[in-house]
Amino acid sequence: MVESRGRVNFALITTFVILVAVTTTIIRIPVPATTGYFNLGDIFIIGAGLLFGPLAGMVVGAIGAGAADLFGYPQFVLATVVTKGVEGLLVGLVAQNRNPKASRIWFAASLGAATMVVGYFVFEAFVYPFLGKWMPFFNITNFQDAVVELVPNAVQGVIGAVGGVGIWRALSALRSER
Amino acid sequence: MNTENIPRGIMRIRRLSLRFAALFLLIFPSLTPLLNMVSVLPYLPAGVPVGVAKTLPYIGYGGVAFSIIVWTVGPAGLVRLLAAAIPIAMAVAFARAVVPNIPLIGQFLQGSKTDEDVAAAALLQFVTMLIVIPLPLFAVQCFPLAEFILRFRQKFGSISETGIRVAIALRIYSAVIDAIASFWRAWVEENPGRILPRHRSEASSMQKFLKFPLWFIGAGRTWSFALLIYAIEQIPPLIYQLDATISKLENGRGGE
Repeated sequence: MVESRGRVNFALITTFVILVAVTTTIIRIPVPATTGYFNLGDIFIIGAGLLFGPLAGMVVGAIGAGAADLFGYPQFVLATVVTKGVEGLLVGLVAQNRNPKASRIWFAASLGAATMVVGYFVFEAFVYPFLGKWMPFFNITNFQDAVVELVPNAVQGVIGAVGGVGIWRALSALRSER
Repeated sequence: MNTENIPRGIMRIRRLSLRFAALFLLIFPSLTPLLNMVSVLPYLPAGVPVGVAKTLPYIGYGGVAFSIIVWTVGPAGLVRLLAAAIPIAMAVAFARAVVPNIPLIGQFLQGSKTDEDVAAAALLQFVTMLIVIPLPLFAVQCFPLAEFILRFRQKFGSISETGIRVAIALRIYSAVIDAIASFWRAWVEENPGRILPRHRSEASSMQKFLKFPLWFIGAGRTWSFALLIYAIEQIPPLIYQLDATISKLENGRGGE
């Protein structure tokens, strides 16, 4: 019974990891300035953080989104693994509560979205230009282009937070029944 | 042992560890900066654009990767894998062409990049995605569920929990890919106005412009939620199938 429950939990978290990887891969609206792209993967990262807690949120964010970037955007893997991992972790940490209020859930989701926007900005404006001095592989963005990507990332964050809370609402009822 | 599901060719290696190693060697160049660091420009005639030169290492690597795929799963197998990769790569290429022409925000989203930079990046991404996306799908085909569990059992005497979880992860990956393919078709049928231009009947472009953000947020949320349900509903039969496979193998009915 315990084994079976463990496997079902593992299967659920794995499903979220794969959904993040797949939705991030198939819905890619490119942002020419940074060669990055807009996607819907944050919905499942925020949803996983809210539903399964900080560790699962971090795993779903880092592995799911990182794996998606491997296919066509390898230069973004570093930024994605760190940013999306921290996004899922923070969402889970803030939302972690037996019976969290809706306001707490919305705050956690918004914090996750903000973490994603700020995280990518820091990497694209400062970390990648710094690394690009030694490794041309990372020489893809600069401060000006990072400012441009704030807009699509903010839209992506809003959709991620709204969708993530929707998934939490629907599935938390199922989890409490189990 | 039933060998029908086991791929032929280079990936039909008897030992699991060797098969993992072969797959790793095949996929490794695409997951690292290796191909971006190879410069063939000095060996090309003058006048070849830098953007084209950057794609050549990927094309060479793609030739090797596709040959191994054809050798292992046959030409039809490669076509199936490309059928998954081509729409994704085409969608990104189309979006890249459309984004700079969006009124008001198109030029803003281009930032400091010139049209040539954008075109070169689009070409490289298109080629990369065509080559790299089939590889993880191919990797899953190289490890059918029953064969994977059987190999684990032969190697370790029993099936460890880790082996079972690796099998679950591989099976879910395959199930989600199937769910997405059919769900995408359903979504297109539900939203013809957004996908097929001949169905667009909004009164004015301003009306469309104002409605679009709300529709986009709603569509993203609904799409993701339905996709999640589609993916999760496959977990109970998956666990049942896994239990059935394990007990079948433990009873010695599925062995060699």
